Amino acid sequence: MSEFISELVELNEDKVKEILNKKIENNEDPLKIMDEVKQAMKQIGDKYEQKTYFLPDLILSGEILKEIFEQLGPKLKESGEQEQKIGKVLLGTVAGDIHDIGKDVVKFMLDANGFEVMDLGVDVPTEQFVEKIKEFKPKVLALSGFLTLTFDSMKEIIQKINDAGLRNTVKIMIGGGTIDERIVEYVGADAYGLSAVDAVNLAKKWMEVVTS
Amino acid sequence: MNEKNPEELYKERMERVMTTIGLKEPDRVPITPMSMFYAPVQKGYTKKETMYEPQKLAQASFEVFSKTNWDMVPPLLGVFPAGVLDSLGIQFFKWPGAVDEKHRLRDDVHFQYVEGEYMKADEYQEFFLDPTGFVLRKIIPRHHKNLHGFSMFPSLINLVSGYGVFLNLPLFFATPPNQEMMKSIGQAAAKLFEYIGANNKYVEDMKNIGYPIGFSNFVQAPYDVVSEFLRGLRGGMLDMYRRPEKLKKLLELLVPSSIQATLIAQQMAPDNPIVFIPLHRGADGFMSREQFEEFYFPTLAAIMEALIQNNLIPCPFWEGGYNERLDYLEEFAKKHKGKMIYWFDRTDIIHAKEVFGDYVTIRGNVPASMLATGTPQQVDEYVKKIIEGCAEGGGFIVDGGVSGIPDEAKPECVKAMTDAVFKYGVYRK
Repeated sequence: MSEFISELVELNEDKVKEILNKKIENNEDPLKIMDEVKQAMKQIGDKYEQKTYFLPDLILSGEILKEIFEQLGPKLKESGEQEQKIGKVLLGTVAGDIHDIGKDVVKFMLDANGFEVMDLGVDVPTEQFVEKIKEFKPKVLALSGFLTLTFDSMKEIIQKINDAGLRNTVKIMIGGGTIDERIVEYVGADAYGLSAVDAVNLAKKWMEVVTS
Repeated sequence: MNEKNPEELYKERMERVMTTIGLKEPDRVPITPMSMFYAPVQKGYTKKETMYEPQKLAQASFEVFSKTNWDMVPPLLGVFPAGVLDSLGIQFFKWPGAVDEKHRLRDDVHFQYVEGEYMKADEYQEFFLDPTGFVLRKIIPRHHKNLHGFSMFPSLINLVSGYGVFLNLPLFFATPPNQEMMKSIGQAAAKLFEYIGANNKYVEDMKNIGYPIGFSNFVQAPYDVVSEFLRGLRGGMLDMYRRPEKLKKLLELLVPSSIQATLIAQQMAPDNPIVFIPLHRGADGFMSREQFEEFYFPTLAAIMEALIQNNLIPCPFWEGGYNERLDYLEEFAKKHKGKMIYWFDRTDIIHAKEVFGDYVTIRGNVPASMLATGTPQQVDEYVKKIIEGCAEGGGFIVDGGVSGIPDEAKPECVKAMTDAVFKYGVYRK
């Protein structure tokens, strides 16, 4: 493992900046740097999964990543290569609820694990999920909700997906505050997750990704 | 039914709860649910109406909870008066029907907190140099759109000189924008008095028929204050890495003021010594055990300790799960045997009882999902299970998980929860 990757995984912000600057000075291929960043992110995700890292660590790694992107951004555009993603996930906090912490962690972890995530944000109108399923064609729909009023929002979304004849095109996972197996049944979802790690594992299972 | 007069009933209920907190078996397991909009929803009021018309909140709550036979009924204080929020132009909430469109939610949506970085990373030093001045001039205006005038408030320390007062203070209050601000404060006060009036009537009416109120005082963990009202979730967590010493200093700074404010508030409602402590960002999944130990728990523990020394009963609500840090809770409980209530949400309470049930009263935790979507039969079975697992030797109180009775709870499930306590929770006839 390169020093860059290990410093990034250890979240040593200053050291990461220092090495990155050197790499840029040496005209290193930005795609190669991004490849290392991706490897590091995967390892950070693994640490979160193993409960060595938590929210503060994910947030800091996100900040460091943002800084790297800012520095590399122009160079990355020049090379413009698209990476291969393993599958599409549509994500959002349902109508009536503006909580985003859980949703954002799920997004981070899905990103880190190579999924293509479309995040619709918070308090997403019910119809928007249906429209985006048609447009984005995700294999997995992930609904987030903290408040108890979201039980009915989720139920309505899934009903509308049913009505649109799209239910068998997506697997649906739900999560947040008070969500449990009773709510899976109540709203007609396929599964729920207690954590972002559960979300990744469900998405992998549903997309039949072989985990190494 | 019961032949006791209201005064006796009140005393009996209060004693039942206090006996169990003292880790002795009362005659029956107490039930003291918290609730927010459940009663108004039952009476057909929208959340907007409930927040804007406190008398409807009070009336609905009285009608619903006076029929429950609970040992303590929910306080109204979890539902904030929207008129006050509007008058001050509060920035850290969105609520149904807010005058400011940016903060408005639909009429039937629960009010919600707005994440924000209300204090910048480079402002710690300014905070430390003059905490009161910083809060007054920087934080209050950022938290309240209509209190921007305070950003120009004259130096407080300078008011020690009589000249400082007569030359500066009248001028401050006389400027037209600040007169507007004083008008907003006046409006907020009127709305607040209306709310307090409705609340006091509810408390009095309940007392007159023999019901104590669950609590009327609360305090937050300093880390939650920093995370929610100062640095934001991101800032508060980044500071653990980038400026841990400053963060800790700020957390410690908030301890004495939190204690003082709680003790003063207690004088307004001396009947009930239980102090509610809603906890948010220390749960499993939010931070590591090390981070919890370093940043979250010490200042929370210091506040709880002070409350206990002042004969108050801390009731931390461990929202979410705390399964991975029960040992910290255990250690603290051991030092304060029979002096607290630990209210749990998604933590396994039967396991918690095994770990520290000899030291602290456990409260909880009929799941919100069950009360909102389950059957009375399921609720009955769940309450039976937790009573069997937690009631022995006293130190157990039945309540829901998050917010106690959820807004959308089915009344038949709430009834089943109560009935099960009377059915399975009797220690002696």
